[in-house]
Amino acid sequence: MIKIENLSKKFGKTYVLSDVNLEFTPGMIYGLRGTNGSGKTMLLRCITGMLKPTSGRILIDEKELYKDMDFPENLGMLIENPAFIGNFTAYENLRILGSYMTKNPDEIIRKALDVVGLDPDDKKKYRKFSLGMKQKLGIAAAIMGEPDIIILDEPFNALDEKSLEKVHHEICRLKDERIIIVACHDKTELDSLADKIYIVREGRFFDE
Amino acid sequence: MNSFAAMLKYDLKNGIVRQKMVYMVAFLLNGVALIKFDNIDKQLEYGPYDCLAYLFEGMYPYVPNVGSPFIVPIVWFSVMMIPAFLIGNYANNDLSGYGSHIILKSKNKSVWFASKVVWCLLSVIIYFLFLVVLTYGFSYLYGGKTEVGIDKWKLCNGFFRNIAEKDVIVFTVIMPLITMITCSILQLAISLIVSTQAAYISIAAFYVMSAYFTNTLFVGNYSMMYKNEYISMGSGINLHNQCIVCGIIILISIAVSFVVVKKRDIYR
Repeated sequence: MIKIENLSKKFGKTYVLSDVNLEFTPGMIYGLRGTNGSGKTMLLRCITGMLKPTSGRILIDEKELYKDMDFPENLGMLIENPAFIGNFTAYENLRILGSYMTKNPDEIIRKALDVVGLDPDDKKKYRKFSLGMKQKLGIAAAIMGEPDIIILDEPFNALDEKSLEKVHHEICRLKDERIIIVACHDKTELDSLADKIYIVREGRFFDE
Repeated sequence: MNSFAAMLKYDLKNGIVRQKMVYMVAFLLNGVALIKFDNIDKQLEYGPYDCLAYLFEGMYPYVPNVGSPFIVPIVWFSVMMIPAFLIGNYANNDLSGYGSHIILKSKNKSVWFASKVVWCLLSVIIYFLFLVVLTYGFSYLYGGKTEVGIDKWKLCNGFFRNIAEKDVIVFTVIMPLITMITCSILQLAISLIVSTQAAYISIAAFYVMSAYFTNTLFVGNYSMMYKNEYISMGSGINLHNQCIVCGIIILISIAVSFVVVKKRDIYR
């Protein structure tokens, strides 16, 4: 379970997150909806261990992030534009990341790429990928190894209808025993996917 | 493979092998400098240490006087500045790019940082090896002399004091290499603590100030043969102090930047 208590984050004098109190439990897909700059991405960054809150705390399975641990134990993420190595293929990009997860990551890489509709044996380099392919690789990196917490920030950007359906299906399949948080500005997409939706406005989170 | 070995392998591939064009440009620029040296007196034979002495001769301690303008020794400055472009913005770019994925998967910023320090060290050593290969190449092409000695350099500069072989190696290889490593680690630290641009500017300014001031604190001095106490007949810097200051700068740079990286937010 992820428990967020009185979390605030400010840059200079501007608060991007104000006194956020939320709980995320396994087996649910949570949706965050808000306009650009509302604070969705900032909260997700805080949960991934990449952005230290100014105040408040994040508890993951009773352990405090940034205090008891630097990063969540088992987390996959796609945040904004995915960054990968330009002259590596999709498989090669994931192989480096996979080597930190298991000694033989081949199977989990192939599975993740297959789920999003990318060919693991495709020799095309990342720099020649279309926007949609880049997004798919970002999603594959996030779900690779089926981590306990999956964070997806605007995962449906640039995806065609068929891929969208595949990704939807996979997210729903993964939700058992996992926490999945999806940030998206598209109401229809989020309504069809999330079990619970929070509306984000000026760094504050409200129940829908 | 443990996390550090995997990270280092990634950095060597991504931060050195993929930068081969930058190394090629560095190779060519130093080649141009050595062609100039070759042209000084075509009658004199020279070896690799003559070439290295030419690249790292620098300038005598500067004394501001009317009629003696301060001129940065351009060959030395170029040779020393090239590693700054090899270090460049790699670490910062990686932290906000693919490196962020790796940090998340390895759940360890320390491994990421340690790998960057080793990468920085290896980048400079490889660059220096390129220089040595180049100097041997030149010596082979123009006479085939390979023994340790700086005869042509001495004759061209009217320097008749005898210098022992071990001292030749200290002045032309060891001190320039230690100085480059120190400045590169410092640059890496500044780029992680402040910004890549600030790091470039600081290192360039540091070298210029090193040329102007003959002071132990300006590490750039250590790579200039003429600024050494032994060569400049007492008005330069003591060799033992140089090694101590380099060690202190390296340790402080690593310690401070490590603390900063541990606390730093990762986001683009």
